[in-house]
Amino acid sequence: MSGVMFRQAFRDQRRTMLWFAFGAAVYVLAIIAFYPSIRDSTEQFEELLDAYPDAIKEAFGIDDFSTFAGFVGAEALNVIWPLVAAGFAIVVGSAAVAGEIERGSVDLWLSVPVARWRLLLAKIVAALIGLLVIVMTTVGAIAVGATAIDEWPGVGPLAAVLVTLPGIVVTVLGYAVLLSAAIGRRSVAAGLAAGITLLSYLFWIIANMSQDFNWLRYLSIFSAYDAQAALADATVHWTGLIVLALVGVVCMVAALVIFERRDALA
Amino acid sequence: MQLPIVVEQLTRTYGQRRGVADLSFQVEPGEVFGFLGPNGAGKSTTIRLLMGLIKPTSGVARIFGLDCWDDAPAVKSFVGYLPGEIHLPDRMTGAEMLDFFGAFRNHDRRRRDELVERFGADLRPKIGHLSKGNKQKLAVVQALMHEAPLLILDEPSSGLDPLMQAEFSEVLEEERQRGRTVFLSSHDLSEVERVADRVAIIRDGRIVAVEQVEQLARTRERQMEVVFDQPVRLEQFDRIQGVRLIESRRDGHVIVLGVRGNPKPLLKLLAELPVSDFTYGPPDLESIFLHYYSETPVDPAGEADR
Repeated sequence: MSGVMFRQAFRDQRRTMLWFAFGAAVYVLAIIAFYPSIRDSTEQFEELLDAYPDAIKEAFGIDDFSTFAGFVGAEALNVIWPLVAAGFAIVVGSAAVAGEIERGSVDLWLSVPVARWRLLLAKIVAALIGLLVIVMTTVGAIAVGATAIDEWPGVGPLAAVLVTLPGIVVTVLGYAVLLSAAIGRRSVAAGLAAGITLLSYLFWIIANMSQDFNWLRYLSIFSAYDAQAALADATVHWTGLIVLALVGVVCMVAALVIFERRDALA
Repeated sequence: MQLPIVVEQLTRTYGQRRGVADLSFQVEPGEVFGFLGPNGAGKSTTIRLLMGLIKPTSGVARIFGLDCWDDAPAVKSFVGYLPGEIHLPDRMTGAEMLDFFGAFRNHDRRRRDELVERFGADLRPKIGHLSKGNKQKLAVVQALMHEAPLLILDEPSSGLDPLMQAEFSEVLEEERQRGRTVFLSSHDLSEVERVADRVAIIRDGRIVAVEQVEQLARTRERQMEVVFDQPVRLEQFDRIQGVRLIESRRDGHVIVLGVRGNPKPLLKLLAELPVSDFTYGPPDLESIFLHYYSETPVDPAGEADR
């Protein structure tokens, strides 16, 4: 890796990273702020929930609105958070190689005496640290918000959330960078990465709703991710997490190899 | 010592489209080597091959003995590079940009400051707010500040105003005197004649000739348009060595001549004629191609440079 490139890449993404971190935190806090009104009228909400078909509840992970973890998990962490964080991964990841090629800055970028893979690795590491900042901001927001409404979940669950959140986004970052290196056009790479992410989400919903299509869960990155359980009782699905991280890392290594060999040309 | 640049049978195609074919040339230490050709001839493709940005289809390019593709990172520590189309990071200031590119190598801060001053580059604003000429100045400083033994410059004077072009030619001359080797591409024959020692001429992706610049000056033609007060006999011009009559207008009041080599005999003749005005055009690149390939048909719409 190149330290000079890492520092520059981190600076370049700083503003994007802070906005995504801010957005994620604000959303989580807003959901948490809404929770007391539900907690205080649990019975009505339970009745309301009972009116939903089971399939819908299962699909969206809305099994339990009466607990803090159940509510925050369903409304913030299960779906919205990964999609927001995936947004950051896609914006930064799809630009890594394709952005330089499209802007025409690739020839100057590659005029430095450092191997291409080291330059790209520096960008990937900068993006990973950016993701970590977003994760930590989110967990911090949960801790602060929960304390404010007397729902402190405990260190264990917070630590479990901290471990669980990054997995899915590392995967998204992996394929966004891979598409960026392979295709060399930023909008196409970003569009495909976003498409894969949404399709994966769709597979997860369908798999949860229908027994017949339950096999689709194996095609979805969301199946390996359960932040709600982490927040509820500090459960970490290690296998899923490792699979997500591995897929991400394999994509990143493939991106490095492809970038080493491809023409640096639009 | 390894030569700064050795290119052997270098070929690069882009699918069906032509890139460059079978290029061979060498650049000697301490010379300014011009790479001359019209737009689309394959100059940028060649430079991309030298800079390891694209992979050769066949053949090899070496810089100081290192393979430009396989050893690309090492090669770049010997090269100061000025791209043809300059896209600097818009959100950085000039100073940040120079710091960034400088941090990858040991660059001499004094040399950088000196270059900044000479070219009047403005380091404070964000690069996105600078004019094209000011961006070009920053890119020139960036290329020269590393004190690299080899400079690869793609159309260096495009975008610089005439004053800066003169400054740039002077800096190149100094670099040469300090023993550096310069490879520069251009479509402008007069620029190459001004700064280069030797020149390779490329057209349609192939090298037409590699010549000393003096030799080139004897080969290429300049057009002279002469206006007379009264008509003159046209056949007297054809008799002069190196001069041909291209056309005559207004019943012999205006003639256009192609002049190769030394213009002295022509000037002697003109001095005795009733000349009222004349213009002497810049050296003409096309005339060199006509010289080298008077019988080979050429494809005017080259497409190698993108």
